[in-house]
Amino acid sequence: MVDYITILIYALISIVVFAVLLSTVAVLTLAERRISAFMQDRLGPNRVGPWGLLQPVADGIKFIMKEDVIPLEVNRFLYILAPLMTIIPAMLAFAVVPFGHDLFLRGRVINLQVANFDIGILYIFAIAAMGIFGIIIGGWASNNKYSLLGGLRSASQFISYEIAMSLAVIGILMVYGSLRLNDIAQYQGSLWFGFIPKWGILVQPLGFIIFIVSVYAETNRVPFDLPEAEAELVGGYHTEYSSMKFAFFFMGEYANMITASALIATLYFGGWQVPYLHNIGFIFPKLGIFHLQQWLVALIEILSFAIKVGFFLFLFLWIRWTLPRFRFDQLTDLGWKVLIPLALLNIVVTGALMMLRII
Amino acid sequence: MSSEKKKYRFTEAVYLIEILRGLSVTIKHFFIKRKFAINYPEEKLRITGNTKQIIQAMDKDAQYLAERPEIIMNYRGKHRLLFDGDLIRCVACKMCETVCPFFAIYIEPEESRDPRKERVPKIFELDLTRCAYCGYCVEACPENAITMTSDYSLVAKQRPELVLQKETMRKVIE
Repeated sequence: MVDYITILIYALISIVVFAVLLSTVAVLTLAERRISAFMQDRLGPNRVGPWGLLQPVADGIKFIMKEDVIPLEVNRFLYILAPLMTIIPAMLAFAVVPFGHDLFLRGRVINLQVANFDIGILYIFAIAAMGIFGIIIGGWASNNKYSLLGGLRSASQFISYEIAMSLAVIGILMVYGSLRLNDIAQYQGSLWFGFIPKWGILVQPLGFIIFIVSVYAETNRVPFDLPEAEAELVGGYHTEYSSMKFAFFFMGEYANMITASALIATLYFGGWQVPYLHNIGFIFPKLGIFHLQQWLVALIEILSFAIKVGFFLFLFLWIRWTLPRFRFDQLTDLGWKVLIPLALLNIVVTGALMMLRII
Repeated sequence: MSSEKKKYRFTEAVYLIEILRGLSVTIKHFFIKRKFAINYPEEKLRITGNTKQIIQAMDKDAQYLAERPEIIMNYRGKHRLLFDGDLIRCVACKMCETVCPFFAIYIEPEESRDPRKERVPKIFELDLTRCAYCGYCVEACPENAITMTSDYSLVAKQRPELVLQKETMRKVIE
């Protein structure tokens, strides 16, 4: 028998997650400009609404009102398909990210995530890989040498860094023994020597560095934003795009950033875990138990997840306005000659430590 | 390709430590209170100091940030015509009109009714949309009748508002 109420609850969760994701994208476009301004001792957009908070609305209206130009010589089908292929996977990938303990609701177990797949992290990699096709196809369909170069760069960059990223995650999978992100987050609540939470950053410090560098390359952010290097390629893959099609590329990039931040937080910073917080309340070793309602626990966990993701989003912007862009040969050098060997080393070391039962 | 490879220190070669140093610089600026931009229509630049003070202050960078004079006193802004009480100083000699490289000044003289002067301008028009604020008119004036203020905020809804007349440039000197 189909449990309609459970389906309804998950539908509600997915709508809320989608709305939060879209509004975070909107806020991020503003935050990018404000934070870059503050880092350069400027003020940034502060005219529309209090602190410029309505600026994304103004931008959205502007994007919709703009003329939607389709150049004559483009491949029309692929040209229109490309922005959709960028934004849809970017929105889908967030589905498996958990943001709280399971809730027990009148005999039903509700996961605080849209979909609790067995393949969890593989799903994110698969969907994120689809997103890159949008960029490559967009670069090809535009019939423009700069766009094509941007698309090609994106392809080779993606191939180089996808390997390092997956290898870095293998270390995590070895330690936590599950592909489900919810299980991984759950496991990070357990304690090491009785008092240190077993967060990924402590268990896999080298893996974390490899993962975060590869993620920056995967999301095409500075210092690896070569596909859209404006100094060399005009606008890269989205040179020929205007109006909402450009906005889709733009939103896709930010949505990818959010998913990447959520992934970093989930794999290496405990996801929704707060140290010593379990589903009955805080349990301090040797100090006793501090009981909390499960709603309160869920709220604290969602808040903790939001803070972690927020910090990593800030880190994305912070790094963007600090570092210069890599040269293309340096980029591939770093990917193939440094990150992949280090990731392999990480797997070997992790295996050895697991054999010695240290982690 | 360069023949010689630059030798890097260990921290530079690892790169991550240098990134942290860079991040610390940007975050310092993120939290700094003093911003160079001002909210223009609500805030305006303070008019303090002169050129010499500013150059001295710029030598010490930190001090310059702290007490930066925002606009100098001898800034060349909007013009004014000086009046001695009721009587305009200008004698309509047309020196400024002649020296103006941009033909921004138009003067039409008339006979003065005041016994102290022979002629005064009937019309004195200064077109700010043509003016480049070079200050030649001020230097050419034999009567020190035209001077410049530090008023830089020249905004108008229509072009005719930017053509200054004798009355709109009036500044009475006691």
